[in-house]
Amino acid sequence: MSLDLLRARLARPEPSFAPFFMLGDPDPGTSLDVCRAALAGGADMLELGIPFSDPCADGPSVQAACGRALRAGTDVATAFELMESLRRTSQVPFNLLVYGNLAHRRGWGRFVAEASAAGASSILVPDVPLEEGDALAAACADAHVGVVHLAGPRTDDARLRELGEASTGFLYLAGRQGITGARHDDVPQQVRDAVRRAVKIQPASVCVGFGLKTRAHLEAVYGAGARVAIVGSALLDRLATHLDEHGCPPDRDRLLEDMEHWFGELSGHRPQQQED
Amino acid sequence: MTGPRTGAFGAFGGRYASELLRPALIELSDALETIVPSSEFQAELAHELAVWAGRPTPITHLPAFSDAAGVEVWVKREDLLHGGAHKTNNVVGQGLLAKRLGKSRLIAETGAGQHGLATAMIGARLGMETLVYMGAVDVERQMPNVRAMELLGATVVPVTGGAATLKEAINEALRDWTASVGDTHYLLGTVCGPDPFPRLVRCFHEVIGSEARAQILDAAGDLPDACVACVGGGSNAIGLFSAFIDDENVALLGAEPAGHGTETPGAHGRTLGLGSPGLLHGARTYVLQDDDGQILEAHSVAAGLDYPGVGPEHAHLNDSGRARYVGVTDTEALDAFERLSRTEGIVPAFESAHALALVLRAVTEGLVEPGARVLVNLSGRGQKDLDTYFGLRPKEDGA
Repeated sequence: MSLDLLRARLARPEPSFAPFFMLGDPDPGTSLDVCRAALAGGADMLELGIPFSDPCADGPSVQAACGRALRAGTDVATAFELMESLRRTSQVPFNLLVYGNLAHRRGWGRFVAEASAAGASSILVPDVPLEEGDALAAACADAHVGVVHLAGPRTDDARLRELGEASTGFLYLAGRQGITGARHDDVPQQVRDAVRRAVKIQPASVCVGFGLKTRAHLEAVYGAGARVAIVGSALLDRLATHLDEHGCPPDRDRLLEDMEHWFGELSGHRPQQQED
Repeated sequence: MTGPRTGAFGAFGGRYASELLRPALIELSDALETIVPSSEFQAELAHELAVWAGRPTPITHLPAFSDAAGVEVWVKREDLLHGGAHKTNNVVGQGLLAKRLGKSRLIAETGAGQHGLATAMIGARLGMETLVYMGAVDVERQMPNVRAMELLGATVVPVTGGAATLKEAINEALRDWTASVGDTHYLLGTVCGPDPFPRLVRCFHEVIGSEARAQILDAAGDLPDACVACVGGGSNAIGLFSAFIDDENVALLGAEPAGHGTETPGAHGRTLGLGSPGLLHGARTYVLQDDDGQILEAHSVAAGLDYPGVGPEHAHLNDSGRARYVGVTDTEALDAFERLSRTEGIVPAFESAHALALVLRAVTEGLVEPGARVLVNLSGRGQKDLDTYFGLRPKEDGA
């Protein structure tokens, strides 16, 4: 019944910070610890990806994370086990990101049921559009899991409404046209405008991702009306700085300490350091 | 099962792409239905194909090869098309269309380099900035094409990660396009991808089949008993098959790359023979995948066939039984490459050599009757493969 956790979270007055992690990255054990560090640092939600061989809607950071997780032996069952472990000690909503083929291969019904049993509150399948999403929507309705649709800056008003109405979890608004990836500059005015437009014309809670990196970025999109802000590639890049050439963390404690510290900054629970 | 809602070929096809690509895919789909059929566009396309690309290409009867195969073999000479392969048909069509849509930049993926080369050619011809994504492994094994693309003014971007071949190049091109849809056309090189690409690319290769049908009726007085083509993504095969799909007595045979052999995953590219339905690069089609749905690496000596997916129309033709897809190993393809070179004075591309190798086995395997008339798409010339060939089969006298 994790969808209820999501609904309760979205009903709260304050917006939510959701870090994104690839389950099993860089290896299943470390992945679990990093997610727990995020929760300890004040993450309000988690977005969790299942590693896929060909994440073509994502940028190099997510692709590299998929590669590390797969090389460390993370299969779909392992990913669900990791999520289930997190669920045992955490009541924050989990949005599951999965490429269509992994769900198609298991069968939509079985996949969503397993995801739900592992604690997923909602599911985003970036390469399954609304038109081909009937099986996903039906499986999610059966398993009481929210559906999350992606929209972008070029999505017109009518489509935005259609997507919002079909989003039983929330609407994921890509802050810019392109693939996922960290940016260094401020959140541009057009992103804030896109958030305001989405909030105004469609019913679902708006979540913003793609290119967010700092607490200031999050506050900018919250200010425009976003209920959730996701930091993904920037986290994966930061994680990667703690890994050696084989993708292993030589100093796990330092990695976890650094990540927890940064999560504290991003979540607003800890004052932010000067941007470097 | 019921088919996808958009761009279905039976239970296959569809538009399994990010919402961020939707506006561009709709724009392209509209263009396919309005601009492409217009007499103005068709006249421009026909003119460019004739005066720049060298259409029509002939068909050639192969007496010595026929004797060896025990069937009457004719080849459609797409190797004689400008650029050296059938790929030029598609790039002329999509290039002219991109220009009409006001795009200033072309991006493409390439495996063997033939599609990248063709895109670089049309980019130069139309004055459009051109960028080609190519697997780093393919860059190494198809260096002559890489040099030619650069000469033509295109930027070649080697793609690492995974097997660093065609699949990775498509991933990268899709990523670029997602960010650049405003001014950029993704000139996809095969009948794969999200709708409308399988329909669009097919449409520009139908000229292969329509010419060949008229030519063989004229030269031989009757239809062929079988049409044969190699299948990676499957664009040259669809081009040839398209004119014969309604002729129930014409067998349609596709040669899939069996690579080093089909016992080992990763050693072949027999997507239709050994794969299963999945979602890859925007379409529901047959893919090589593990039990979880992770896409497996493919292998073929022919870079253009080295792909773990296949065009969704082939998936449909396979399941409906209209076409049959048979595996051909690297060794068989190289043998056919040598045979055609020595007996007919034509050096085929490794890709096309797969189709020729299938013809040599077709009677023994009961795919056609002895003496049957077989029309093969000689989809490209083999100059690009000479380095690889001499690496694999060095001259024994050391000369």
